[in-house]
Amino acid sequence: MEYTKVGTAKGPGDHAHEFLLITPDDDGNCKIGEFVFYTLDAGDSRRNVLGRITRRSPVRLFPDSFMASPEVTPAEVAAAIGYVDDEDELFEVAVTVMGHYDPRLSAFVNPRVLPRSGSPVYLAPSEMLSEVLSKRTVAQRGSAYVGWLLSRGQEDVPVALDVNEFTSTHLSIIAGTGSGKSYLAGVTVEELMKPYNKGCVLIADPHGEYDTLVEMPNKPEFVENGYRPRVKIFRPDQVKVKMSNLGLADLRHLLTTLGERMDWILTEAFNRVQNKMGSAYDGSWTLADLIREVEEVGQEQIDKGADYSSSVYGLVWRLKQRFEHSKSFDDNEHLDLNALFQPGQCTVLQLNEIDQRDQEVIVATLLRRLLYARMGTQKGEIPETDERYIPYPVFVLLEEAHHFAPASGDAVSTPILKQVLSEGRKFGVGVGLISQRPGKLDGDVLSQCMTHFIMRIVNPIDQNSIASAVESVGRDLLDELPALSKGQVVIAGASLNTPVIAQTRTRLTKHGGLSIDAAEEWGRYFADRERRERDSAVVDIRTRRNQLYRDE
Amino acid sequence: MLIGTIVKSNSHISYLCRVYGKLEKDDLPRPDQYAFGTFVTLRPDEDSPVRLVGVVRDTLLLNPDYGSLGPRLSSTRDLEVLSPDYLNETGVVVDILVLGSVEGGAARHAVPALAAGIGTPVETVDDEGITAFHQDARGRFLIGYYPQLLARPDPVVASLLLSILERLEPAFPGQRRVINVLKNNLAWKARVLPAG
Ligand SMILES: Nc1ncnc2c1ncn2[C@@H]1O[C@H](COP(=O)(O)OP(=O)(O)OP(=O)(O)O)[C@@H](O)[C@H]1O
Ligand SMILES: [Mg+2]
Repeated sequence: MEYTKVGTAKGPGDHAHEFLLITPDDDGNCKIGEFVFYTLDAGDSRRNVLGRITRRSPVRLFPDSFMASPEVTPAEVAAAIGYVDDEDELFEVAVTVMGHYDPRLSAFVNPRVLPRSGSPVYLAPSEMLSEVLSKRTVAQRGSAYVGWLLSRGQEDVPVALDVNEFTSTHLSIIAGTGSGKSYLAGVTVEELMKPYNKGCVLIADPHGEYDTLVEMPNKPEFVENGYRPRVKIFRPDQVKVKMSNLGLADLRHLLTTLGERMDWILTEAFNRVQNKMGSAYDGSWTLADLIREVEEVGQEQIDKGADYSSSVYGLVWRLKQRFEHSKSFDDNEHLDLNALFQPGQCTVLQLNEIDQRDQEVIVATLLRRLLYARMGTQKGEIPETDERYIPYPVFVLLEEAHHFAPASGDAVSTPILKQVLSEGRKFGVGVGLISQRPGKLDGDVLSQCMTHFIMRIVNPIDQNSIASAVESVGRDLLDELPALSKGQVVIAGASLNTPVIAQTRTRLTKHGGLSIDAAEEWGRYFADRERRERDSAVVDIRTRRNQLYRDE
Repeated sequence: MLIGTIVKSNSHISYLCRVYGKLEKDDLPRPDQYAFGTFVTLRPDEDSPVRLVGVVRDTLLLNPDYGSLGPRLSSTRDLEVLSPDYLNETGVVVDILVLGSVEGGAARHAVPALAAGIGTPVETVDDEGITAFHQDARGRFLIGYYPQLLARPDPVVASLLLSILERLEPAFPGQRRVINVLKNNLAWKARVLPAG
């Protein structure tokens, strides 16, 4: 096979696995993030050692004085003094060596030998990259085809992620607002619901932008041999949490700043109601039960001579205030786990219109029940008939993850989220975290995700928090982040063999989070108002004129 | 117009030309015809198709008498009669810097392969010839010797180039902007930098 030469190896670079090459780069092949290779003799065969371009700097520049007039190009000046070569540019390009691909290990092996000075360096052909970059091939079982290599043509080098990896060792999607996170998450969910995956996915959707996934069952791409994905949407008023699923921390969080005495009474009452009504995650007490215990605890103290009556009164009042008419918390109703989680089913929990604190508690209780259900099911402690019997792994996608695990640390969902991230792998609970403010996301949470989708980020604070939390992404790729456009994504981590810059593929279903065309809407409303005002203005003038006449 | 002959060279591209004096020719060149910056051509040998093109970059006046304080044996009037050769030794010598060559109408701005010999006649180039020398094959402005000249450790080079560019500017209206960039660059190098 004829390979395209891109340049000539010059010598070692700044660090051990880097070399420099010199190229006129006439065809513009040497972009940052592009893959090139050199060959090494290995006994009787030759190895193609791949590397990624990480830097590029011109080594020959026109003098500044040639650019003295904006009307004259420096090349014209150079031509006037006798330099008429077309190749007036020359670049020094740094390449970080990844290694040669070993199909037995399905990984790159670094030969620790850099190319000889003066030896040719070739552009890695798309076929080669398609084989070695991704861990899977498109439409293979356990694959997620999310896009293609940005530096190549559309679909030339598909990026097909290893689903098993990111559904067990977690995923993060990070980018500034409007860069296409939700779009990419939608693509990922589509892939999980394809016939070759039949995934079990739940989406916590605080903006109500994932309901367009209901189109999936009606698209031919998703249907095969009797399989057809199901999409269940829970509207905000259908999302219920049973009172007895709340932990003490949840109660405290929902009631916000309790006084010392109230807190003590609540703790005491909560422990009693839990003990009376069953184990920690199988209780079924009601708000009335809890209030009764509160009053009892208070009465005991009063009997001992302490004046707790006002605290009891206050606590009861606050409990009633918070829970009696709550849309989200209920004495009896809740979402059965086996209704939420089924293979081949995508469940969307719409959390819009729900108070921020309530959202946190809903997500925290859900994750807690899910994790314990998976633990219990695996240990054989939960019978098949139980709604908590979940004998398959699940994947939960959390939008606005910085609300559920903020760096400031005051969310009830943080501890359980961290537990899921560290133990979920063993029990088959994977999470995908989506956030537009990695700087506001708990650092541990981000570094626990082993696969990262990182899109356009301009804010340097956010860039730094990514740099510190995400080891798999090199500085060279991070430097590209501000320059990415919508839909372009750096994918790194355990789900593929090496970090790549990719273009997100087009969604099969419509994207729900459409940006608002503000000018268009203003224009429409303005036109409406204009008309109304014109109508009323006519009336005004008439009445005023009448008055004038009357004055006369 | 012939202005003189080569009498000496300093290097492959630098020649001294003795300007014709009295008794050698009837119509002697006027000083403005061998002034600083004048373009000249010379043939390396009689029937060579190549002509070297150069420019006057310096003028020297020769006067062997100056400084010899001994008594004169004869008066100037006697000398004219008795030994006219001696009298002619006072004269003008111009330093010529070769910039390139012309062969069959095509200009080459580079060090020519051939050198001129002693006695080679030196001829001035007319305006048309100068313009032709500064055109590439497509008729665009070309001053290929600019970098070599600038690289010489010679303080007169910048003003020499500047005067050449100023002379050429009207002949290349299409490339006036490019010429201006070069002129500005030179003016900066020749006027501003040394003064700073
Ligand atoms: N790969 C893509 N191809 C085409 N359009 C895209 C792509 N990615 C995103 N878009 C468009 O960009 C807009 C913003 O995308 P999206 O809603 O996914 O952004 P986001 O990062 O989730 O923003 P937010 O922070 O507000 O949630 C949408 O209108 C979407 O249609
Ligand atoms: Mg979004």
